[in-house]
Amino acid sequence: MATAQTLRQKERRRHLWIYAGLTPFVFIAVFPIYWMLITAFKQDPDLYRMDNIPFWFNLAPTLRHFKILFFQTNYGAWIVNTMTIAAWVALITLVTAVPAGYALARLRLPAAENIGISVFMTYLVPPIILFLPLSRVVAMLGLQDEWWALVVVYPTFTIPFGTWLLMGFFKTVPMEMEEAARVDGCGYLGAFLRVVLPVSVPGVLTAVIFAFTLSMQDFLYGLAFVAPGDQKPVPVGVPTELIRGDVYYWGSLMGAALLVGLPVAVLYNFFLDRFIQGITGGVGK
Amino acid sequence: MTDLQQAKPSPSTFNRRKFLATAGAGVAGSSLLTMLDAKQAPAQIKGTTLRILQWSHFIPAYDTWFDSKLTKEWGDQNGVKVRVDHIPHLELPARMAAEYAAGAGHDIIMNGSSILTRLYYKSLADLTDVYDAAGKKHGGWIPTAKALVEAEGRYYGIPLFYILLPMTYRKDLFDANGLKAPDTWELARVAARTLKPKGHPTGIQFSQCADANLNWRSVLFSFGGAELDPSGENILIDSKETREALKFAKALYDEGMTAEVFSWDDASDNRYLASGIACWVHDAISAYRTTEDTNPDVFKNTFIGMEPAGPNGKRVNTCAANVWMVWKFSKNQQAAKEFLTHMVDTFSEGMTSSRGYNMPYLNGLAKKPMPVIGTDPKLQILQDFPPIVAFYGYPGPFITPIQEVVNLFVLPDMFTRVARGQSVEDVMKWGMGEYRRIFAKHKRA
Repeated sequence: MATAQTLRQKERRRHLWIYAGLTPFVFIAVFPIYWMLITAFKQDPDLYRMDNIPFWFNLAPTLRHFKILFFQTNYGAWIVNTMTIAAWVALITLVTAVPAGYALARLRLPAAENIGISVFMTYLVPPIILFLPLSRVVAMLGLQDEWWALVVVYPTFTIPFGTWLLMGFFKTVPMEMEEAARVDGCGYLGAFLRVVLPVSVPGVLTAVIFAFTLSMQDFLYGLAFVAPGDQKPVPVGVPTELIRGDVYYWGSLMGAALLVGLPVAVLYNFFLDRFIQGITGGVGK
Repeated sequence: MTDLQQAKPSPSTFNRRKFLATAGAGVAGSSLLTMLDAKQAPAQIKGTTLRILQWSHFIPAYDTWFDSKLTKEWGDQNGVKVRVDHIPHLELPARMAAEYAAGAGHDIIMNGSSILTRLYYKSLADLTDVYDAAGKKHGGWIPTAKALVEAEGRYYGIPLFYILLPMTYRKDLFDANGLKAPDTWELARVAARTLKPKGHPTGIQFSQCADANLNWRSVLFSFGGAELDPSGENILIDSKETREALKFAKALYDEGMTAEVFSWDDASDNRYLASGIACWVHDAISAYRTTEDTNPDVFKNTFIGMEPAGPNGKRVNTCAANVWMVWKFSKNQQAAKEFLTHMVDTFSEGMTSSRGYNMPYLNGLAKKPMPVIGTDPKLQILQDFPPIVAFYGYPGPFITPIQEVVNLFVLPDMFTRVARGQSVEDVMKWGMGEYRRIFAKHKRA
C-alpha cells in the first residue's frame, strides 16, 4: 500500500517536472496566438494607451475589427482564393512528386541520387531571383492578375520539396514487400499502387500538408502576379488593405491572421503523429 | 545617368524613322491638347480598358472615392472601363520590376517612396505634353517637382501629390512646463530634454524605415546640409553642416529619447503620440489622425507646427513623393494620358477625400484656403509648407543612385551610428564611402 502510494507520488513528481519543463515552451508557442486573439477583440483606444494593462481587456471587447475584415475588405474572397490555390497546388504536387520520388528512390536509375539532390537544390533558389523570369512565363500564359498564375508558379517550389521528401520516405519501405507483390503478379505500377503507396501514407500526407502550407505562406509571387483585390490570396490581400502607409489596422490584422492560422494549426494537430512519421521517415537511410 | 537599358547612339541625320516619330509625336501632342481643350476624350479610347496600379492610401475613404467615384464617373463619361488595383506602397517596386520583365501589366502605375522614373524611363511613355499642359493650366509646378519625373529633358511621370511630415506636438505639456512651441530644432531639443524626465520623451526613427529617410533629411537640410548639387553629379554630404546635424541628432537622442527608437518602424511614432507618451513627433499627419481616432484626450492637446528651423533659420521639409507613370507597352496610352489630366484637374476633390494628406505640386492648387487643411485651425499651418518642400537628393535631382542610397538607408544609418556612439568623423568617412561606392557603381553601369 505504502509502496503504491510512493510510486504514485514519484509518478506525480515526474509529471510535475516534465510539465514544468514544458511550460516555457508552451508559453512561447501560445503567447502570440493569445496576443492575436485579444488584439482582434480590443477597441483601438485600448490598444494605444500605454497606461493600460496590455494583457487583458481594459475596455469592452468589440467585433468592429471583424466587421472591417468581412464587410470592408475582400477577406472572404481571399480565403476562398487561398484555399483553392493551396488545394490545386497540393494536388499538382501529389500527382507529380509521388511518381518522381518513387522513381528516384526505387527504380535504380543512373545518377538518381544526384538527380534527387539537384531537384532539392532548385527548392533553395530564392523567389526574389525567380519572380522576374517567371513573370514572363505568367504573361505568356495569359494568366497575369489571375490567381491561376499562382497555381502554375507555386509547384516550382512545392514539387522539388515534395519529391525530395518522398524519396526519403520511399527508401524506408522494405524492398521485399514490393518484390513479394511482383512475385504475386503485380507489375511496377500495381506494386506501387497496392503495396508501396498504402504504407507510405504518412509521407504522402506530409508532402500534401507541406504543399498546402507553403502555398499559403507565399507573399512575393502573389504580389508580383496578382493585383486585383478579389483575386489575391490572404498573405497579399491582408497587408494591402489593412496596412495603409504607416497606419496599421492592428485589430483586423490580428483577426485575419487568427482566422487563417488557427484552422491550419488544428489541421496539423489532427495529423501530428503521421506528420512526424512522414518527416522522420527517411532518417537513417 | 544609369538605366536598365543602355542608350543606343542616335543617328545624326534626319531619317525616315525620325521623321515618322516626330510627326507622330506632333499629331499625338496636338490631339491631346485639342482633347484637353474640348474636355472630351477622343472617340478612339471608347470601349477600351484602363488598368491602374497604386498603393493603398492612408485614408480608406480616398480609395473609395478614387475607385468608385473618380474612375467610374470618368470611365462612364468617356466609355472606358477602368480597373484600379492596390498593393502596399513599399511593394510597388517589386511589382513594377515584374511588369517590366513581363512587358505586360497595368497601363498606369504609381510610385510612392521609391520614385523609379529615371530607372525605367526608357520603358515609360513620354508624358511631357500632359505635364506641360497641367503646369500651364494650374499655375506651374513647384520647383522640386521637375526632378522627380524628368529624364533627358522630357517628362515621364506626373507628380500628383506629396505627403508632408510636420512637427506634431503636445501643447498642454509644452505650456505646463513653460516651453516655447518647437519652431526651431533647438527648441524641439530643449522640450525633449525637459519633458523626458517627466515621462514624455520624443522619438525619431534611428532605424531602416521610410520615415527615418525623410525625417533625418529634414534635419540635415534645415541645418544647411545638402545631398547633391543641382546637376546631380556631385555629392555634397561631406560638409560642416552635415557634421552639425549629426552632432545635434546625437544630443537629441541622449537628452530626449529612449533606446526603443532603434527598433522603430514607420508606425511607431504614430503609436507614441497616440499613447500620450511623446512630447512631439515629426511625422505625416497620420500620427495626428491616429491620435484623433484613438485617443481624444491627447488629441485635443495635439497641435501641428511649422517645420522647425535649423541654426541659420533655414526650414526644409523632406516629403514623401508620389508619381504616376504610363508604361510604354500600354496599349491604351491615350486613355491613360487623358485620365492623368483628369486626376490633376480633380485634385481638390481628392485632397478633401484624403482628409488633407494629399498636398499639391501645382502652385494653382496650393492657393489658400486649401481643402480640409484650410478650414481646420490646427492644420492651417500646413498651407505654408509648399515653399519649403524638398525630396531625396535635395537640392539636386532624385536620380537613380540617390534612390539606391535611399533604399539602403545610408543617411539614417549615419545618424544611427552617431547616436549609438561612433565618432562623427568615422561616420562621415563611412557614409561618404557608401555614397561614392553607389555613385561609382551607377557610373560604371
